[in-house]
Amino acid sequence: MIGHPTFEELEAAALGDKARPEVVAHAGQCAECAREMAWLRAEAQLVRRRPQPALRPEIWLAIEGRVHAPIPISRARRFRPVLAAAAAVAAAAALAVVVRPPRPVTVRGQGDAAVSDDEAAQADPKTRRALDRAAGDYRSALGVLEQEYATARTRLDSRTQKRWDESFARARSLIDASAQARNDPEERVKLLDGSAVMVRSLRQAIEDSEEVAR
Amino acid sequence: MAETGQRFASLIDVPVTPADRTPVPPGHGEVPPERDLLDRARRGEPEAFRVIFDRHAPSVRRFLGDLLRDDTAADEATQETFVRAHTRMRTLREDERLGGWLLGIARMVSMEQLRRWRRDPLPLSEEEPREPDRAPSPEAALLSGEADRLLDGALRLLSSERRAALLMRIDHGLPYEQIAEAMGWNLQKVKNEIHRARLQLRERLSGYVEGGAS
Repeated sequence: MIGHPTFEELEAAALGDKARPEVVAHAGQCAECAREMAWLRAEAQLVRRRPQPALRPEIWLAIEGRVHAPIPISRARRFRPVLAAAAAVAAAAALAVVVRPPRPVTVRGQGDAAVSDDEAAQADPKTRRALDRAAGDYRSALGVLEQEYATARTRLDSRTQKRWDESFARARSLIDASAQARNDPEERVKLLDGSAVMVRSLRQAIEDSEEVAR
Repeated sequence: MAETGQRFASLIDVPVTPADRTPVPPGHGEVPPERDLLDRARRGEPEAFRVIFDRHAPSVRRFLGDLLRDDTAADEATQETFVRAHTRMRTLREDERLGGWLLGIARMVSMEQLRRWRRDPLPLSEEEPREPDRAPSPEAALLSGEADRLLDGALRLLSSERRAALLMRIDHGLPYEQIAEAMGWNLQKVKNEIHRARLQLRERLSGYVEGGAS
C-alpha cells in the first residue's frame, strides 16, 4: 500500500466493518496507523462493554395500550395535578433513599445474613412516609383513571378491553407490591417507578384518544 | 507513549460488536427479514410490531439511557419512541434502515425531554462528572473498572448532540450516512462532530492512561 490509509479505512478495520487486508497489513508495519487503530478499537470496546440496561416489561404493556386503544374521553386533563403531585412525591422519596447518609453496617455470625442493610433502611421514617405518600397518590391517580375507563370500556372491542384491563391490573399490582415491600426502600422506589410508567402511559393513552376524538 | 494505544486496546479482550445486534428473544421462532417485518407491521399486524420492539428496544433504551441519564425518563422515552414509530411506520422509506430510523426518533424524543428539563429543572437530578482516581497503571485501571467510570464522565461532558452522534457510530455501529439521516445533518457535519467527540473523549482517556502509565 502506498501512503497511509484514510481515517475511514482505519476505522472500518478497527471496528470490524469491512477491513481491507492491505489496511490491516499496513497497520502492522506503521506505528502511527497501528496506534490510531488501537485507539479506535479501545474506544469502541470501552463503550460497548458497558452493561445493557434492563428493559422493563411495563414499557411494552404501555406501548401496546397506547397504540391499540384509542378511547374518546374528554376530561383527562383533570388528572394532571394529581399525577404531577404523585410524581413529585415519588421523586422526593427516591431522592431521600439515594442521598440518605450511610449507616453503620452490622456484621453478624455466619448463620445470619452477613450484612444487615434492611434494618438501616427500615430505620428511616422520613423515607417511609414519603414513599407511603407517593404510593397513596399513585393509587388515587389510578383510581381516577379507572373511573374514566369504566365509562369508556363498553365502547371497546374485547381485545382492547383485555389489554387495558391488564395494564390497570399491572399498575395496581406494582403499587400493592410496593406497599408490601415496606422495609426495602430501594425496592419500593423501583416498584413505584414501574407503576409511574404504567400510570403515565394510561394517562397518555387517554390524551392520545382525546386528540383522536377532536 | 506510541504504544499506549496498542496496549490499551490489547488489554480489553472483548469482541467489537455493536450494542444493537441484539438476538431475537426465544419464542418468536425463525428470525424474519427486516423488510418483511416492516411490511407486516405496516399492514397492522401487532405481532410484527412486537418482534420489531423485541429486536430494537434494547438498543433504543440503551441509547436513551445514555442521552437522558435517568432510568425512568429513558423508560418513558423508549415508550414514546415506539409509539411514534408505530404511527409513522408508513413514512419509513424503502432504503432506510429501521435501527437508524428508530434511533433518530429516540433522539428527537430525548431532545424534547431535555428541553422540558431545561425549562423545569429537577433538583439534584444531574450528577457532576466524576473525576477519575489516579490508578498506578492503565492495566490496573482497566481491570478495576476505573476506565469505565472515566469513560462515563467523558461521555457526560459531550453535548447531547455530539454524544448522540458518537454513540450511534461506535456503540450502535451505524454508518455515517444513516447517522446523517437520523440527526438531520449533512455527511460532513456528522464526520466533523464525531471526530470532535472522539478528540474530547481521547483527551480525557489519554491523559489518564498516559498519566497513569508514567
